[in-house]
Amino acid sequence: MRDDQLSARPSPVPDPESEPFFEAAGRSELLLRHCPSCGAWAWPVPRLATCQNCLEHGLEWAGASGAGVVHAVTRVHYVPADDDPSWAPFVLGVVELDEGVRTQIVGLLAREGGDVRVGDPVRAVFSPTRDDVYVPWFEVLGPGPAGRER
Amino acid sequence: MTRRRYDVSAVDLAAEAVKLALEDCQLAKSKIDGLLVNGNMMSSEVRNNLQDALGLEDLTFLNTMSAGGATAGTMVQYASFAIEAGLASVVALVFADAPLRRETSIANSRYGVPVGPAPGLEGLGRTYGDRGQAAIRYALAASRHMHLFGTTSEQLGAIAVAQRQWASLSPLAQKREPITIEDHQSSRMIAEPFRLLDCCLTSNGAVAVIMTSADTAKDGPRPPVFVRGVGQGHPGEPVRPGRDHGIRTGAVAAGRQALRQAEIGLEDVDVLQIYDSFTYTVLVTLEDYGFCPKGEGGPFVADGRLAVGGSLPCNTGGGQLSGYYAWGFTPLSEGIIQARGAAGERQVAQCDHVMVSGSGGFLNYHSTVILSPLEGPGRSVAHHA
Repeated sequence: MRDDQLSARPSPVPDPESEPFFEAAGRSELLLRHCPSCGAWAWPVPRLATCQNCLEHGLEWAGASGAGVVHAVTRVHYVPADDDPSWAPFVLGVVELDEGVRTQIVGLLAREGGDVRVGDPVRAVFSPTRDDVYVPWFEVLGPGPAGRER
Repeated sequence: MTRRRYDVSAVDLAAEAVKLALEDCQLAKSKIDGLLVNGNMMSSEVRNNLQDALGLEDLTFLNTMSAGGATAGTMVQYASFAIEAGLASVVALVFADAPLRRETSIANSRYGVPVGPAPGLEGLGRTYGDRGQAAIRYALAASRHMHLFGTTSEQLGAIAVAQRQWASLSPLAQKREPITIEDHQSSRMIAEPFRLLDCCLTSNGAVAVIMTSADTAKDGPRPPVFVRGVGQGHPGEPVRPGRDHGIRTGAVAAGRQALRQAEIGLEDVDVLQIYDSFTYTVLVTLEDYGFCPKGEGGPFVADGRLAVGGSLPCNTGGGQLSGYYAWGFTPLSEGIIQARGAAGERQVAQCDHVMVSGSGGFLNYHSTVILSPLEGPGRSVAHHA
């Protein structure tokens, strides 16, 4: 995925729960969920304010580094009939962030001159979608050190 | 099963399957006192209303169960517990669904993924191009396996080719024309590494299995099939931190539990019915059951041992890649057919123990059932239509 591709994609519609996440993306900051009770980090899950680690209610938003490595990756060639076929192919992956959290499936930029591979270092970047809502995605910084595994 | 049927509702298909199953085991409908219904994405009228649609009265055991493609095995386990405990004597297990509509693509079927903007964090996936498609999630696991172990697309293709060979012998299968590795390699890419021929079919259809005690089944018109062991293993969401994402599945725990209960080892398994949402699901399950070491599934399947005439016959009805898509009821039904020696041209001669798997979610859930024509440790009996 490139940011010029992202500008053609449908926008998420921020709601009260997700407003801080998208608002932070607009100023190039990645927010994760953080448990004030046990300190665990989590990728935000809709309608879940309870920590999956200690089961305390009251996850808070907290700024994350945005740095991580590719944990799993696929290039998608199929676009459902009601989406724009020009999107394909695009790269999706799971990123393991330095906070020890894995993302849900997110967009990744194909590395210039090569494939995206497991272990490649990435950083979060932020681009506007069709309706100017900023979303995080991940840019591949280069090939990972051989044998680096997460 | 092979006819394309669009104008029948899932609940009508369910009723037809139950009728055929009762005829098959020569039991009156009034004997049914337990009903387990496969839940999850199934048509809501099946989930909510099957007892009334079937006109079943005075049940003493009823539930809808949801562990995705692993549900069938968990239903077999719960029904056997209920029968052993005297809670019910004849239990019907039912899967029915009718996602396909006439003159629309699968993308627009009821399995089609949601369209349009979604509120908040759910909308983020739509922006990325992830609308919850199973192919994307399983492709992430399979590509990781390739990265770690050097597994190839041709090796995955060997699974598809073997299953199509079996399907060519099955009158129940939707896809019966033989395919080659070259056909697999030239089929269009869906989500790397999956090509079209790595992906399962979609079907309108229903399966009903009737379970009762061994004593009752012995009076029936057909050779009984004994449930010798059942296991479950549900590792949870594979992207959770620290999990070996898509590489080690619930098959490890479920397989061990089922074999232990049946008091047999892997070397005693004659026929496999392995849940095949995608070719990769078969490969990772074979590794996790211990048929080969972790990471060696690619070379293991590439030599044709799963195919017709191979040493480890697998998905002998074509599975869900070539046979029909009835979630965990595809491997379960073919397992029963083989164990009772009724598979016709595709019957495996030596068939004392059939190992049946179910896998659900995105490798979140797993169940294993060991079926046998031989009575032994284990429980009650399954009939099927």
